[in-house]
Amino acid sequence: MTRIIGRLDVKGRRLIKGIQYEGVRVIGDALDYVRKYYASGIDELVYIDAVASLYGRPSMDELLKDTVEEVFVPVTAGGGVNTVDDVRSLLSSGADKVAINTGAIRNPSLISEIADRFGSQCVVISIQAKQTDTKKWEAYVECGREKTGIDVIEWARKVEELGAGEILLTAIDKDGTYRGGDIPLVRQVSEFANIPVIASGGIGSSEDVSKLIDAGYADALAIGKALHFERLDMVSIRQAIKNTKRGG
Amino acid sequence: MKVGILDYGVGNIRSVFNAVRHVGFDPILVSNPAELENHSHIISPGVGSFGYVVQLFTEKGFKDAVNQYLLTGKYYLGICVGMQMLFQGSDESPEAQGLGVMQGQVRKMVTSDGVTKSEGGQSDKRVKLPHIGWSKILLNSGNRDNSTCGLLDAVNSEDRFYFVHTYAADPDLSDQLIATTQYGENRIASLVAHENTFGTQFHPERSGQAGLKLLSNFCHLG
Repeated sequence: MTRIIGRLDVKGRRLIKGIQYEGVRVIGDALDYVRKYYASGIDELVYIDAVASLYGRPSMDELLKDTVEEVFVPVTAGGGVNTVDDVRSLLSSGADKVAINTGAIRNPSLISEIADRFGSQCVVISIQAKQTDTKKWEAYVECGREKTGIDVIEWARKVEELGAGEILLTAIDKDGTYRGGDIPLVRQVSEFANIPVIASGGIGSSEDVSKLIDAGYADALAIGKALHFERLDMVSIRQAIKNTKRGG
Repeated sequence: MKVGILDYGVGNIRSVFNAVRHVGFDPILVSNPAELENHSHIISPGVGSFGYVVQLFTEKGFKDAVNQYLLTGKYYLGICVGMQMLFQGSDESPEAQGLGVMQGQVRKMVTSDGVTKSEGGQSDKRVKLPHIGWSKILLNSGNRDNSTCGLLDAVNSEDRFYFVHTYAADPDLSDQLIATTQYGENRIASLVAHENTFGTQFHPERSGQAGLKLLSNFCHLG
């Protein structure tokens, strides 16, 4: 069964959301949303600290601690993870896994350091992909603000070699648009990757869910805005997954 | 019941701690092996590589203390690598020795690209590692007394549990294998038991209501 992951971009304790990583606004208290998702049977949660990268350190310890007091599904925490110590701190606050983007691009050996110390299962590499050409995507950092010149497909290959346990693949162009996921992108990465690929960005309907699984080969889906604004609920997502060929 | 959670330096023990508290017990983190004997129920979490976990376990003096504890017949639950450690050894770290409470070896699971059988029948879903996700567990029909050992009381056969692992135990004794989970061609030992010692490959502390139920059942044993 394809996993459904609730994705919450947070600033401190507040849930925020933008479109294509721009025009970010506050939606509400993150924990209120998480409680609701947990009660409706979400499989996992991902917190992305949207401001941590700017300050160079994660700042969601308090939110994490409160979350894992009452939510008993896996929680991934990301944003501003640059060192093994950052990882240790997030794990000790209750995260099961960490998501890393900028820190891993700047220092790829961080991936193997974390995998050696805490296990591959706790390393989720977050890739923010922006399309540059037909079947070409570039990896971005700093919440979709800065280009790196790195090809997404090559980077995905490399992070797997270095010991990543999962790839969280966000299509920047689709993010927050409800226009459907980036099927060719997800398909390309997922087809060669031997580790699970979580597709994120653009999901706005049950059809988007099915397409990402059957045509995009996604192993899991990270859904943000469509859950926050109740455009989709867990029952309809679960039903859509059940009806797929690959995900049910 | 005095529930202790082993704190030997690996893994996310906070989630186990919170889950046990959530089901109405007051667990204590045990970082000193000498304190094991004060408890009636011990939970041993574990994530990361088998070799590293066994190394820490041994260095901090837990290996001998746990062996002593197990002799007393009190209750013990190993989770994930904490469960794998109950076996004799693992292909992941051939030099490291497990506790040997369960007969058998921990082996790497196999991936596959082609058509594989899943619980729902044929599917062209690719089998990737690590195995991450929610799966049902199936009682082992080859187990003589087919005992669910009380751990699965009020757990529904449709309930799913959260797995995240690359290696899985391969028990020699059918009697120690309580439940299995199919992942591609892999028949995972998802729940094992020997007398009052139990192991789950999945993470009950991360498996929502079903997992909480199992943890509650464990803490109520005896």
